Amino acid sequence: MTPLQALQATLAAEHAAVYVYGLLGGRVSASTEPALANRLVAGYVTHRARRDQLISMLRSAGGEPAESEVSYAVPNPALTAAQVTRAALETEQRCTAVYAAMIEGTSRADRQWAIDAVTDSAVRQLGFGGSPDPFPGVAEL
Amino acid sequence: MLRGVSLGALPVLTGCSVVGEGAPDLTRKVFEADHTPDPDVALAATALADERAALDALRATVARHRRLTSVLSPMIDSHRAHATLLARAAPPQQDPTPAEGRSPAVRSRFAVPRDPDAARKKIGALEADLSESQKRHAFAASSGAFARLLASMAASSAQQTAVLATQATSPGRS
Repeated sequence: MTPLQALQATLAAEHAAVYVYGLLGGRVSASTEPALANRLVAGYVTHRARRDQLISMLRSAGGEPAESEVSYAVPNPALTAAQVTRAALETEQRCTAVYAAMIEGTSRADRQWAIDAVTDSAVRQLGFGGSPDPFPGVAEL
Repeated sequence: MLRGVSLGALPVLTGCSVVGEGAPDLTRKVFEADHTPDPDVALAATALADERAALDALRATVARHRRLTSVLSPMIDSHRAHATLLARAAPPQQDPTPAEGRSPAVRSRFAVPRDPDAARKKIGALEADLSESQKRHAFAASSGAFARLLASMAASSAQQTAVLATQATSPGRS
């Protein structure tokens, strides 16, 4: 995987994460589920910022950032708080794996960006019911 | 802990080469014609020493505060898994602490606080430091596959730091 391909793959994941977090946020009442709603907002803001950073990084590297799809598959129907939480966790787990893959394909500032992202994403999983993992983002371990 | 996956497929250093399934660019000799050692081997030895130091600290803390066992045991398991992988990457001559269980004298270098809450906080600080250290190693690694592995270890320690911080602020936990 070239550095540009790694950046594009990560951007594609961020497009999906922004979409899913936005959808999930609309399924949760901030008055009845304030903690979950806050976590979803935080996740949405974080992934939106990362998406924008990746677009800049790609342009700086001479690439053309891939555009977002019209819609993305959500991990489950997301009709209850438990389903929303599970969907957010699965989304974050996928992002953790993509960031880890980006580390392998990049160096210098781009690798540092991915290292910080994988750490943040792994910790964010805990807020959605995830458990500590000896090797977050590395599925083969 | 390693989820039953063959270790032969892991993107880690061995004593003589970096191996990764489906990644031919990861395979290269540690010793070049001028006998310069692969810098990732030294990095692996340093990372291994860090992981073993964390293991020593956790074991010493559990030995002194038995009621922290349920909290700290998963962390011991994680660091043991990290150390197992890193030990495969660091040849014995690069590994200053080859034995899995070291002497009590070595283990006792970590001063465990008398108060269990203080002990837990000290472990939390240690995990945070270890996470930052592994992140630096990941940034410096020559092999992308090894960098990914080290960053994952850093993320694992960051998760443990977060868990300990949550428990420290939860009422009724000690």
